[in-house]
Amino acid sequence: MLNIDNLKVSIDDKEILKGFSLKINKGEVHALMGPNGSGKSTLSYVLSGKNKYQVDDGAAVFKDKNLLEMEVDERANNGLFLAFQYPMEIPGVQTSFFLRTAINAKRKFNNLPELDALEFAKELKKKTQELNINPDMLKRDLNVNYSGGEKKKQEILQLSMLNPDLAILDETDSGLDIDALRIVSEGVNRSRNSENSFLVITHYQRLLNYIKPDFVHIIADGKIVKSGDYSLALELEEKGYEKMAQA
Amino acid sequence: MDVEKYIENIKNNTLNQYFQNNLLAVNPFQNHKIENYKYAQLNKIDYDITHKNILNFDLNIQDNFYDTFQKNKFTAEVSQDHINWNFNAPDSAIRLASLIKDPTVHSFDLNNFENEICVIDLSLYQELNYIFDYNNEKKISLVIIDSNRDKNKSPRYLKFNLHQNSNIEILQITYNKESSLAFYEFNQSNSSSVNMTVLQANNIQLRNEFYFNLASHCSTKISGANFCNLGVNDNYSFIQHKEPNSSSREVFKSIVERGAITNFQGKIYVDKIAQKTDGYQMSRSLLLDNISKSNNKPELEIYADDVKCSHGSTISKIDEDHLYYFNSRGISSDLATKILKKAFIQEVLDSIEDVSLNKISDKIVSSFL
Repeated sequence: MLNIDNLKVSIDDKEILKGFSLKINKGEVHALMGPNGSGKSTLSYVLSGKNKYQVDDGAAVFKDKNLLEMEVDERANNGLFLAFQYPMEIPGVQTSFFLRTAINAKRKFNNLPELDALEFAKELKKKTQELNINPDMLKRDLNVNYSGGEKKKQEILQLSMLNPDLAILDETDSGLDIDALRIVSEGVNRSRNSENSFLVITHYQRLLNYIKPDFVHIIADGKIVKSGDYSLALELEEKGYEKMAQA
Repeated sequence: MDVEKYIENIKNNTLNQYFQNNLLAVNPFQNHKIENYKYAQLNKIDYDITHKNILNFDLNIQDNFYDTFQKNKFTAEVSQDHINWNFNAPDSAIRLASLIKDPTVHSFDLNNFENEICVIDLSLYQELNYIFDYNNEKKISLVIIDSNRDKNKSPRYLKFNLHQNSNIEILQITYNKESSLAFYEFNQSNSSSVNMTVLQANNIQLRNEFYFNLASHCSTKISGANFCNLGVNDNYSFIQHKEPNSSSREVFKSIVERGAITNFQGKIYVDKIAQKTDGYQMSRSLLLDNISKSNNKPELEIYADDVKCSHGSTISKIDEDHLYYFNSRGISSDLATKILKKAFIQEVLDSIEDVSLNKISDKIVSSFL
């Protein structure tokens, strides 16, 4: 699905990722954990194609295509999805309109006809119920005056509607209360299947109690320093980042 | 120079000569502050029309006012038309030019109009100067259309006298015009309210002026959107709070591209007796390229000491983070830009209360954005 090899990335001449490598296969869930400033969000932005990052070296292949050569919208339409840590507020754009536009953009890319309004409404209703989202939220402007929890739910709603092949969750658990964390995690788990993959970026092991990863990686100073299974997350919780990075 | 003398001097000139020889050359009203019309003075407008690519577009909305108007109109004296603007209010060159070209003012009592929505297609009307009276608590909704179907290029002067407690909503649309000069004046009696939405699209040269004179407990809302225009587009507003306890809200948005220039200059004036005034003005421009220009000049002139007035102005390009967010969901930059343009003026469209007026505004917005 995704193969990142020796990726080196800088911003304003400051090197952030210093030879990052990771392979994610179909159906796998990987967790990436690390302290502040270790390069987690940079990785997610680079993979999604945000333009202020400079790729100095390395490669990223997504579904046998060179990911780094694609435009941002092309990456998304090829099946890459980034659930943002801080979703953008867009005044004047109704949430449901945005969702429908995104779905139809992907369908157009795949040479499919536009989704029928009724069909879209039906699907949207189902997903909003699953995520315990107030339907009134869909009539409001995208993320404007949403609470932190509502914004994150909105991201997961987009994820479940767009059904990507690879979803990167960038600290989706930050700002969520316990109930919202459970609901959001259940939403992610419902989207999981043998054909898609997830990269879950988080500071805390707590999220991984709900979204069980197949692999856990620790990132420090721009590269993976340790990989293991779920037990690594538990160990990390006990010992802390500093000790684990030294070990 | 004295205005009366000034008018006398140019009475025999054609309108064009009037502009060319006088207003374009100098500021004719020497007694006014130079700050008035800083950006929007007529001599800054380039009347050489070099762009001719007006789209072939028609709103196809039928006028339903003409017959009633012709049957019930009466002639008013120009002298009755002057209201006591504060001496700091600049007189409008457009208003004067309109009166010079045709000193007759046609008056009509809107209470005589029975439909709830009154559609005025200016292209059908030969008259230049109008006074509309309205005296009814029941809201009347007006649509005023100024398009290239109107071959009369002279300025238009429309004045509304709103009596106590009366309530009016106006959607004014200017589109496809090579040159549009219009002056709107609202004289509001106690507790009257105006909600005016202005949409300007696909014009080349445009200058609209909006004057509001508020007595006590009045409410005034003006929301404007200028998009897909070429050349120079000027909007000038003067909201005068003459008595206490009135509120005014003004939002003006411009989307500027293809080398166009938009000027917005708006003033909230608060008289010294107009305590408890609540005024707000916001002008925003969205610049879509490096060759277009926007001049926004918000102004407050306050002589009362117990008021709430605020103003703000921004000029920006499309937010790159917004574009990135759209792109990250598979939406192309072209489509995202189109959506964000409409989102930019959505606040103006949301200010329309009447459902029928909303449908009309949707029609013009979806045709151009």
